[in-house]
Amino acid sequence: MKFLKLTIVEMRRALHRRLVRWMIFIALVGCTGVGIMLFITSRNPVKFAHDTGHPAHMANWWISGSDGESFLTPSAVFLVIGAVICGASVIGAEWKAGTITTMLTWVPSRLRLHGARTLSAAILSFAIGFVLEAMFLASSIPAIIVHGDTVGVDASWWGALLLAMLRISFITMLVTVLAVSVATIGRNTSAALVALATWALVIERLIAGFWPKYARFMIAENVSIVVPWAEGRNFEFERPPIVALLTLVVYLIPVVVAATFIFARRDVATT
Amino acid sequence: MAAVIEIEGLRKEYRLRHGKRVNAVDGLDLSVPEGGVFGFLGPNGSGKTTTIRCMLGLVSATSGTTSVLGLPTPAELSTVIPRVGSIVETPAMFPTMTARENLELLGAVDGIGKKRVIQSLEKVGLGDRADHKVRTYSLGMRQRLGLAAALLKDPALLVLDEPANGLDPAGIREIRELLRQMGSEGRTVFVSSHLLTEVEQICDRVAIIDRGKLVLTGRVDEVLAEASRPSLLVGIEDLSTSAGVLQRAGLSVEVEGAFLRVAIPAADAAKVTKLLADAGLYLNELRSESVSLEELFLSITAHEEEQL
Repeated sequence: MKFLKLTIVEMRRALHRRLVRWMIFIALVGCTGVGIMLFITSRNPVKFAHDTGHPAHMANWWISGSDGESFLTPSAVFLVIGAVICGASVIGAEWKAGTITTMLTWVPSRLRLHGARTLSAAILSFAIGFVLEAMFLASSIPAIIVHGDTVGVDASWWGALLLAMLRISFITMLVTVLAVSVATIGRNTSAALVALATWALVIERLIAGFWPKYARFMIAENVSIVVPWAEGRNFEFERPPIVALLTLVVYLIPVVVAATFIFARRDVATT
Repeated sequence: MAAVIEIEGLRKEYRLRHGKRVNAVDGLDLSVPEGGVFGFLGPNGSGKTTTIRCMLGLVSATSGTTSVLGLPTPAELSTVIPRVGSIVETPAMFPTMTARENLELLGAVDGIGKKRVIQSLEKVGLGDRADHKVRTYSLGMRQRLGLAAALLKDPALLVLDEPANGLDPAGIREIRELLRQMGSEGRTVFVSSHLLTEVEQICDRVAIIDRGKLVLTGRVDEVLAEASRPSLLVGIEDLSTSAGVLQRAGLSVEVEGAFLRVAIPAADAAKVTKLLADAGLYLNELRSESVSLEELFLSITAHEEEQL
């Protein structure tokens, strides 16, 4: 019961972070901008008729088995970037402001506090990710109503779309937990962001470039397989989606364990 | 009298970046009895905050034991913390929230209701600023908010690290009254401070530490009495004749500026005035010489700065 209360408190605190609010605001502005653009680009009937991938043809929201061709897919990239920034910032700011000391004088069990913070970040990122995906898709509704169509939209399509949204939310959640854990280890937002960016954009790309056989173990490649839930046909290897998903989880576990151990053991000597 | 804080042989060693080790606390023994206000004094870097952090489980001791409210810490912190209100250095709250929201959130962790939140804010004089964002608060107001947070648990023990930091004279006076009130309510207030005049006014007992070691502890009046030389300062015009009169009566006398220092307890002042009056010498001023806590503190913590 106390853990649940603490998790709710941590969620409320995270939602009070200005950066989190700004990121959500920017995402909503982005969705609105996309909606306006889609409406404008669907106005010309000739061009629109040839644009078979336009999301005003509602079936393009999600095309099952596709590798990155659906309208929904790019949202994953933005959500992952946002998740990294927000996850790292929520923790880093706590150390910078010294509120961690305040919290520990109320919640002496560090495991409980860290668990609640990680869980709250996971729940929030999943929920916010899902809502923002819905907003992103909804941005094309005016274009669909006025110029578009719903050909091919049936119950199985809705089911596939829902699963895709849940997968992207799940990826967002994993990335948030990763960012939270790295920031907990580094006790600093910038350090966490630099570490994660270096890993994802430099080290993984170097490994994938010099030793392509190891590319199947890289985070980016596995995310690219999990989102469409396809075998990864765009790569030089094939990897079942469930294996890709497990790979991501396996990556996360040691980082979470290390963060928990370090948070539980290290001194909180400065505010 | 039961001890609410018991520290035995506490040592905390930090490793510096270049590999050298330094003892922030070096074999500290301390016992804080229940009730009243206890002053924990020491110069900067003497180990006060590290001691408090060890007690509250924020840093782990290299060796030694600490117990709070009769239970060993950090092992029993989960039982102890709900009964301990604390401020460690500058109290940090969530700047984008109002004071009320901050305390409500903290209170929610322990199931403390909104009514108590308002009571705590009013107690520290922040009732009318309860709905202002903390980022608009001055340092002094943040300090008070920290105190309100500490009071929220209705604690048996208050551990306050420099609670008067950043407060203006009026604020310091308010905090002084508040701490005095807390102490008289039966709580134990453990307060570390640099403001020795304040400490002297509100504390029943003090402990002075230096370089991580306990130097002196006891009741404030006893400590000061022990440190004071029992002497009287006599202001009189004819210093040499007066000194002769007093010396012939068997008193130890020194000339100090325009005064005579007579080694005699203040209670025996009548003897001095009578001796001088009998000799036709009339004094202008007579006062007992006392040592303030500040003078005592400075005398026992004065040492050459050492390179770490």
